[in-house]
Amino acid sequence: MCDRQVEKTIRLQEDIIGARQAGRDLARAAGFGTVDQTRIATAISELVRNALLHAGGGLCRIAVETTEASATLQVTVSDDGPGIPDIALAMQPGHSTTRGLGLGLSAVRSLMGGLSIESRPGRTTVVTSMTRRR
Amino acid sequence: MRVPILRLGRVLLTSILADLTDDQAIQLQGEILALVRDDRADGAVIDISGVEVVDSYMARLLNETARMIRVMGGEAVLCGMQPFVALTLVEMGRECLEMRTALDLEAGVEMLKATIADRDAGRPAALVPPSA
Amino acid sequence: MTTLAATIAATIADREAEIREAWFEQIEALAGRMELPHLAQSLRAEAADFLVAFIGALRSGESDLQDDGLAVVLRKAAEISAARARDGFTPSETAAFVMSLKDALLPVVIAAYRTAPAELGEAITGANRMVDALAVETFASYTRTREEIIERQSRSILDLSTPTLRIWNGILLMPLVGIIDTQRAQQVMEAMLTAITREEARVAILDVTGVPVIDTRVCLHLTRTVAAARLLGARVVVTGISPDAAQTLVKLDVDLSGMITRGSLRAGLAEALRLIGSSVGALVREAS
Repeated sequence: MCDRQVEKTIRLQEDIIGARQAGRDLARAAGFGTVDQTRIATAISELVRNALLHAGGGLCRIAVETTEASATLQVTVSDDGPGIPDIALAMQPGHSTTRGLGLGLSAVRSLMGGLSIESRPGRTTVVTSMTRRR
Repeated sequence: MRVPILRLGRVLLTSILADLTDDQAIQLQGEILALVRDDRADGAVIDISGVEVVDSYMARLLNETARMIRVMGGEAVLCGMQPFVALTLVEMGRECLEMRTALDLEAGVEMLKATIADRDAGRPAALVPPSA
Repeated sequence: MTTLAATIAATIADREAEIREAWFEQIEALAGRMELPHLAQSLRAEAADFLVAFIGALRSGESDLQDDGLAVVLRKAAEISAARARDGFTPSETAAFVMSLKDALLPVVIAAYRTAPAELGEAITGANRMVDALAVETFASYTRTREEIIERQSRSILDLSTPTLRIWNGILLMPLVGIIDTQRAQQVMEAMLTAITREEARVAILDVTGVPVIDTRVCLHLTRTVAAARLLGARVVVTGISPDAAQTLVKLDVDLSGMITRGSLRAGLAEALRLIGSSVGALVREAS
């Protein structure tokens, strides 16, 4: 049950900007406030950059589902890279294997609320979502 | 997209008007550092009022730029951050942006000058006393 | 719908007058129990109105209250209970009103089928089901309306309770009054940060004299607001922290570096002026 959905292929750095812009647009259309739009765009930026840096690219799917009472925006980023060897470690604030503040995944969790990761060599999928009352 | 860097006296001013890609941001960092050296500038004021997303990568790049300028003997001030960007940055992790910040370019230039004055006021006494 | 169900519906519909009579009695008793005897009359009027829709749905023949007919009656039930919610009735009082229809309906049904015991069971089940469906809808509608009211009130309270005042060039004042929960803390943060940018403020005074409890969560938001304001190039001066709050803050070992605190609003204002490079003396001279 999806009201709207956008899929973005991530291959180039420009795609990071494209994906977060798409997320912001969807969030705005679904009635999320400016702060939430910024949180969502920032979280998407972290996730797709991870996919680009670790796997050379991937797929970012942003879906919005609205009911009378609430709106949920879900971001799913998947790649076919080497995978995350230690997910618990990767979630630690301060952990970084590439350039960044080392806040990537823990930042996404605190910005969005929920975060789930499934990873094995050849397939990594990260899902995060935000729900707001309307 | 090229980000212009202007010079006002001994201060460099640059205004980022849209979200940059990682490479564009690194290129800007390089240009600022080169100009600090070539123009013997006291430092740079970076206006990010046009930036809608500062993620951990961008935050780190800004922090590093500030530290690099400091190592080169200057100071850096960030200004014009959107309120929603500030809120998001604070939620991502405490003190993830360690730069000096100001409200707008004008306040940024003021702060840069004040910072350098403070730095110079607090410097250790000359090793050789000035001759009478 | 089965023919039997249709006969049951028709049987009930034919006894409209009886049912109304019985329901009015129930309502009279109900109003007495609720100690609101003066309401009996308006409750009766509503009951009569409602019964007409109910019987009409039964009479339409196409319905054992399963489809369109049901929809009409349910809407009526929803309207009545929404009005109940707005008038401040309790949920049990609202439910009691609809359930009292059952007390009126069942004796009539039992009397009508006394001679046909084989059909009595089904008739009672049918009548029960109709009233239960109504009760469920009534309750759902009551809750919905209450939620809407609460939501509207909390929104207006939020709007009322987070004013940002520009008290001098570059100085904002945000007096906080009342309980701060997560939602309100978020709103305070957003309001303050947008006001800082809009008013080009260098200093924001956050007066928490009117906040009864400062707990861990409020603390977290306070420190975040201070940090975010700093990123904008503004300083936050927090004033009016109570002894209780001070004990909490220190015991929780909250990192207060970077937060400027002053005891009174007056001291906070003096500090704010100092921060923007002015003083009360200068302002007085300026004004005269």
